[in-house]
Amino acid sequence: MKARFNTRNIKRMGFLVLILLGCAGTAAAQPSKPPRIGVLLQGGAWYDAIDGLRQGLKELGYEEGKQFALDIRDTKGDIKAVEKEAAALENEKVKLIYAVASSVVTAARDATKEVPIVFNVGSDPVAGKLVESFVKPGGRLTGVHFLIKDLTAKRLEILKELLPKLRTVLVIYNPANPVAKESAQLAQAEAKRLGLTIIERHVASVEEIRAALGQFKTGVADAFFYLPDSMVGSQSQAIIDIAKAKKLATMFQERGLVTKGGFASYGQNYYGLGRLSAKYVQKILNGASPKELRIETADDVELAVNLKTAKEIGLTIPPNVLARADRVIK
Amino acid sequence: MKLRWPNIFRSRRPRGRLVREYFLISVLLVGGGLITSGLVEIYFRYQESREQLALYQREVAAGAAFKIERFVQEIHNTLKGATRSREIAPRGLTPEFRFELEKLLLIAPAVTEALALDENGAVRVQVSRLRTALPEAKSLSDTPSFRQARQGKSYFGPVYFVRGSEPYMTIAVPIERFAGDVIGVLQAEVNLKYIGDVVSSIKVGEAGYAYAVTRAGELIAHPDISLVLQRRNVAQLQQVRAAFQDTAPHAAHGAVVANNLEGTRVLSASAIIPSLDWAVILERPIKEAYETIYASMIRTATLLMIGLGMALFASFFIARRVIQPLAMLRQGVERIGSGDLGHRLEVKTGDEIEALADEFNKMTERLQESYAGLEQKVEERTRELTEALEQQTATGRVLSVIASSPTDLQPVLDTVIENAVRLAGANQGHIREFDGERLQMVASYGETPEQIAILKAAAIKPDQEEPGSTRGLAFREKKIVHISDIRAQANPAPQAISTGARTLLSVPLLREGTPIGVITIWRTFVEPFTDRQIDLVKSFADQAVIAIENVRLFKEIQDKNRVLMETLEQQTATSEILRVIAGSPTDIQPVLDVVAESAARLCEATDARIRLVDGDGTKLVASFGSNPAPDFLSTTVQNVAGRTILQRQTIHISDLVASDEYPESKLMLEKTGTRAILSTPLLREGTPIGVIVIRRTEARAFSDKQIALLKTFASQAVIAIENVRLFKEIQEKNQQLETASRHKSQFLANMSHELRTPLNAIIGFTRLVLRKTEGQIAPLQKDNLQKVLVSSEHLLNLINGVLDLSKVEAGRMEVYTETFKLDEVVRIAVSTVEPMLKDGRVRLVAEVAPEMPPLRTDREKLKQSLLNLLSNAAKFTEKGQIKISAWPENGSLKLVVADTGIGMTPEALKVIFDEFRQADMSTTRKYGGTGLGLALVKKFVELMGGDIAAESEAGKGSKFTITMPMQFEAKS
Repeated sequence: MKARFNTRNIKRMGFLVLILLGCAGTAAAQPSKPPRIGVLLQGGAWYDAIDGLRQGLKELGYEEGKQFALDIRDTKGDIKAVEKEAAALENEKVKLIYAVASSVVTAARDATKEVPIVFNVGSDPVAGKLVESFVKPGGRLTGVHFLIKDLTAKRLEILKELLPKLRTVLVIYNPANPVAKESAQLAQAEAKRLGLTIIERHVASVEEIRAALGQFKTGVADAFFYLPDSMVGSQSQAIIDIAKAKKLATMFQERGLVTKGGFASYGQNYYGLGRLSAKYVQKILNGASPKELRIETADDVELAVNLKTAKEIGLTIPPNVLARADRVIK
Repeated sequence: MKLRWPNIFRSRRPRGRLVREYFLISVLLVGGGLITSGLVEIYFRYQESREQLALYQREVAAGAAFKIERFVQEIHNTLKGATRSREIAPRGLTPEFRFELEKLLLIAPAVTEALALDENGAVRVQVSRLRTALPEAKSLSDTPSFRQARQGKSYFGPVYFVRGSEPYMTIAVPIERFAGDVIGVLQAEVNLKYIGDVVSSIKVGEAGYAYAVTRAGELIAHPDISLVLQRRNVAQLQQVRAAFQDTAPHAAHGAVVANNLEGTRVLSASAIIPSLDWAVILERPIKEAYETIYASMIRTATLLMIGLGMALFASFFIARRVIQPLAMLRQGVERIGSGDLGHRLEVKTGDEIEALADEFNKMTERLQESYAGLEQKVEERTRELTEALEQQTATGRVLSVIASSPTDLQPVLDTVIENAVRLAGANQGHIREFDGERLQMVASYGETPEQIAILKAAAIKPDQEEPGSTRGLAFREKKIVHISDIRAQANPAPQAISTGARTLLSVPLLREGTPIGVITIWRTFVEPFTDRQIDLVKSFADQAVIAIENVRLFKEIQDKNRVLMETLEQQTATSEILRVIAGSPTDIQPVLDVVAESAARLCEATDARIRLVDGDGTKLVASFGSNPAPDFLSTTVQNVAGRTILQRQTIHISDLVASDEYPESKLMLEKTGTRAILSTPLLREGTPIGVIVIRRTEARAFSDKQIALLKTFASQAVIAIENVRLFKEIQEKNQQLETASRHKSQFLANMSHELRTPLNAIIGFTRLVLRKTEGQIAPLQKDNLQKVLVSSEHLLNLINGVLDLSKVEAGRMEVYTETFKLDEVVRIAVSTVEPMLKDGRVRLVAEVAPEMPPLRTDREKLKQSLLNLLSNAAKFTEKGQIKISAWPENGSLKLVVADTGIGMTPEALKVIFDEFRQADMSTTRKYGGTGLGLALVKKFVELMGGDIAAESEAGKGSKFTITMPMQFEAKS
C-alpha cells in the first residue's frame, strides 16, 4: 500500500515538473524576434511579388510576424537608392534579401557582402553574371528566373497580332541598364521582321520618364511597349494613365498592370513568382546555402487583355487572337 | 587443545548449488515460455507492420504513378484531339491548322511549342509560347518522334532539359485523315515540371520521398532536382530493378529494403507507369519506417523482461525455502568441522534432513572419543622431534664453528663440551687431549675456576694406572666408561670427588682407532645416562676428533707452504745474483749490492754489510739497511767481522746484549739496537778476502737454513769477486801483448829499412864489379861474386817481404785504387814467371773471362799477389801445368791459381798463410823461398776487402782461390 502511495506521489511530482518545464519553454521562446527578410523593389507591379511571397510562405507554414518579418524598402525607381538600402539591410542583419528585377538584384549584390539574396530576375542570371549556373548558383544569390527579356520579341509579335494596324511603337528605357538595352535590341530586330517602327526614348531618372511621356504627342505612336527596366517599371501606373490620355495602347510584361488599366500583357505574373520564391526563402532561413539551390525558371506565360481599356482607346482585337488570351478584362 | 580438521573440509562449500539448480529449472520452465511467446509475438507484429508499411507506400506510389500517367495522357489526348479537327479530313494539313495549335497551347499550359509536320516531315505549322519565329527546320523526317508517329503510333520521347534545368519531353501523335491514313505528325514540347511537382509533393512520414525513373534508370523527377540534372543513373539500385521486373499495369510490388543513392538503408515500394515505361519509386529510411515496429518490439520486450524478473524472483524464493534447513545443517557441520566437537545439530524439520542431522550428531560423538587418545600421541612425538631438533642444532653449531675456525681449535672444543654437557643433561664436563705424554685438559664447561685448577693439575699419564680414574681407562681401553655413582665405588678418584660428580661418563676421542683424548661429563646427582645421551656424547667426541684433525692438517699444509715459499725465494735470490754476475763481468759493486740486499731480506735481517780485506782491516763495500757502519774496521777479535776473518768461520750470536765476547761490536751496535748477528767469511781457496754480516734488532736466533743461505751468498760473492779479478787480469795481459806486437812490427820496419841501404850497396857494387871485371878475373872469383849477388838479392827479397809484412801489421800499408784491366796484370805476371818454369815439363795457362769488366782496386798489390802465387806454383811444380783463371761471380772477382805440383798435407794447409812458414821445413831447404809470400798475399787480399782460400792434396797439386770485390771501397 505504501509503495502505491509513493508511485502516485511520484506521478504527481512528475506532472508538476512537466508543467514547470513547459512554462519555462514558452517563457524562453517568447522574447525571440522572428527572423527578418529584407525586401528590395522598385514599386509598381512588384508588390504583387511580395504578396505572392507572403502567400507562398504561408503555404509552407510560416506565419508573418511569428516565423518571419518582412522589411520592405521601395526605392521607387531610384537605382542608387537600391544600393544604399541593400547595404542598410545587411548592416541591420537581415537574414536574407529578397530582390526583384535584374537591375535591382545587381545593385543589391554590389552593395552587400555576405547576406544571401533571393531574386526574381527576368533576364538570364548567368549572362547577367549573378550566378555561375542554373543548377549550381555557386554564390550567395539564387531564386527564380522568369522570362521578360526573352519574351520581348514574342511580346511585340503578340502586340502586332492584337493590333494588326500597328505601325509605330514607343519604348522608354535607361540605356545604362544592360538588360533594358539588350531588350531594346531584341525589339528592334523583331520590329524589323514585323515591319514596325520603334521610337526610343532614353531616360536616366524617374522624372525624365514622366517628362518623356508628357512631351509625347498623341498620334505619333500607336502603342507604348514596355522594355524590362525596373526604373520604368516603377512608373507603370503613371505610364498607364498618361498612355490612356494620349490614346496609346500599352503592352506590359505583367498581368497585374492590365488589371490596373493597361491594355495588354504577355509574361509571367509576379504573384506566382513571389510564391515560387517562398521555397528559397524558407530553405535559406533553415540554414541552406544559396550556393546549392537550383534556379528555377518560371515559363507559364500568360496573355492578358483589358477590353475595357481597348474600348476606351478605341481598339478592336481580332477574335482569334482574343481567344488565345488567358485572361480578358471586360 | 582444539582439534584442527584438514582444510579440505572447510574450503569445499558448494555455496548455493542446490539453490541454483532449483532456480534454473524454474527459470527454464517459466522464462522459456515467456520468451518463446514474446518472440513469436514480436515476430508476427514485425511482419504485419512491415506489410502494412509496404502496402501504404505502394498505394502512395501507385497514386503518384496514376497522377503522372494521367498528366501525360491528358496532354497526349489533347494532342490527339487537336489532330481530329474537322478541317483535317476534308482539307488536309493547311495553315489554318495553326488555330488548332494555338488552342492547344491555351488548353495545355505544359506545352510550350507545337509543330505540325506533313507526311514527309516538313514543318507546316508551328506555334510557340516563347519564340516568335522558330528556326527553319528543313525536314524532321529523320527524327525518331516523326518516324514513330508517322507509323500511326504515339511517341513519348526521352526527358531533356532546357536551360540545363527545365525538364521537357517531346510527344508526337499522328495526324490522320481517318484511322490508318496518316497525313502528318503533330509534335509538341511538353514541360514536365508538373511531374517534378507531383513527385516532390509526395511525403511519406518524415523523410520518405518519391522519384520517377525510366526503365533505363534515368531519373525523370526527384525531389533533389540536382540528381536529375546530373543525369544520375539509378538502374543499378535494387529497388529500381525490382520495380521493372513486372510490367503488369500499375503493378505494385512488395516492399524492398535496399540502399538508396546516398547509401542509406531504405524501405522502398514502386509503381509502374506502363504507357511510358516509367516507374514511381517511394523510399523511406528504414530507421524511420520501422520506428513504430521497433517501439512495439521494445514494449513487448519490456513486458517480457518484467515477466522474466518476476519468474526469477519466484523461483529464487521457492528455492530458498527448500534450502533453508540444508543451510542450517551445513552451518552446524561447519562448526563441528572447525573443531567444535561439542556442538550438536538441531534440525527439527521432521524429514530426511533431520535424520541426516542425527547421524551427524552420532558421528561427532564418536570423533570426540577417539580424539583424546590421538592428542596424547601427538604430544609425545612432538617432544621427540624437539629433542632431535635440538641435537641437530647443536651438531650444526659445532660444525659451523669447525667451519668458521679452521686454524683455531679452542672455540670448537668449547662448543663441543658445552653442547655435550647441556644436551646429555649433565652438570659439568671437560675434554682432555693427549699431548704425547699426558692427558691435558683443553676445554671445560660448568666448572668453577678452583675446580678447573684441580682438574688441570690432575693431568695423568694414560698408561699410569690410577684408581677410580675413568678417563685413563677410557683412553687406554678405547671404550666408553659409564659409572652410575662414583661414590658407590670402592675407591673413587679424588678429583672426581672434588667436583661433586656422581654419575660420570667418559668417552674416548679416537682417530682411526688411536686414542687422542677423552671427553668426560658428569652429573652431581645419581642418574645414569641414557643410551641416546651416550650416543650423543659419542657423536660430539667424533666431531671433536674431526676438528682436531682439521686443525692439524691445516697447520701441516701451512708449514709445507711456508717451506716451499722460502725455498722459492732463495732460489729466486740466487738466480738474481747469478744474473747480476753475468750482467756485470767487470764491475763487482752491483753484485755485492744484490748479495747484501738478498741476504738481509731472505734471512729476515734488519741490515747486511759486506766488507773486503784491506791490509790489516776490512773496508765496507756494500751495505743494505739504514744503520750506520764504519768504512774501515780493524781486524781484531774484538769485533765480530774481525773474528770471523781471523777464525775463517761463521759466527752466530743470538743476542749481543747477553754476550760479552765482542766488546767493540757491542759498543758500536748498542745505539742501533742490534741484538742478533750472523757473520760469514768470504773465502777464496781458504783465504779470507772479506766478510758478510747480517743483523737483527731483536734477540731472535737465525735458523740453520738462514745460516746456510748466508754461506751460499758468501760463496757467490767470492765467485763474483774472483770473476772480476780474472777478467781484469786477462784484459791487462791482452794490452801488453798488443803493445809488444806493435813494437815488433815497428822494429821490423825500421830494421828492414836500415838493412836495405847497405844491401843495395852490396848488390850494386857486386854487379858493377862483375860487369867491369868481365873476362879479367878467374872463374872461381867470378863464381864467388855470383854467389854474393844471389845471396844478397835473396836477402833483399826477404827484407822487402818483411818490410811489406811489417807495414801491413803496423797498419801503414794503404790501398791505392786505380782502374785497370785484369788481363793486363795477368799478362805481366805470366811473363814475369815464365822464365822460372821448369822447361818443357810445365805449361802456364792463363784464362781470363772475356766479359771481365775493368777493376778498380790496388793494381800493384793485386799484381804482387798474383806473382807470389804463380812463383810459388812454379817453384813447387815439377811437371804438368799451372793454370790461372779469372771470372766475375756475383759481383766479385774470382781468381784461381791451380797447379799440379807437390801439394800439401792437411796439416800443412792449416799454416801456409802464417809468416815464415812453409808447408814443410824440408821444402824450404829443397825449393828455397822466404816463407813470406803466401802471408803477404793473404794480407794484401784482405786489405783489398777480399779473401783467399787454399785447397790441396799431397802429390796432386794445390789450388788457391782469391775472392775479392771488383770495386774496392775504402772502409770508413
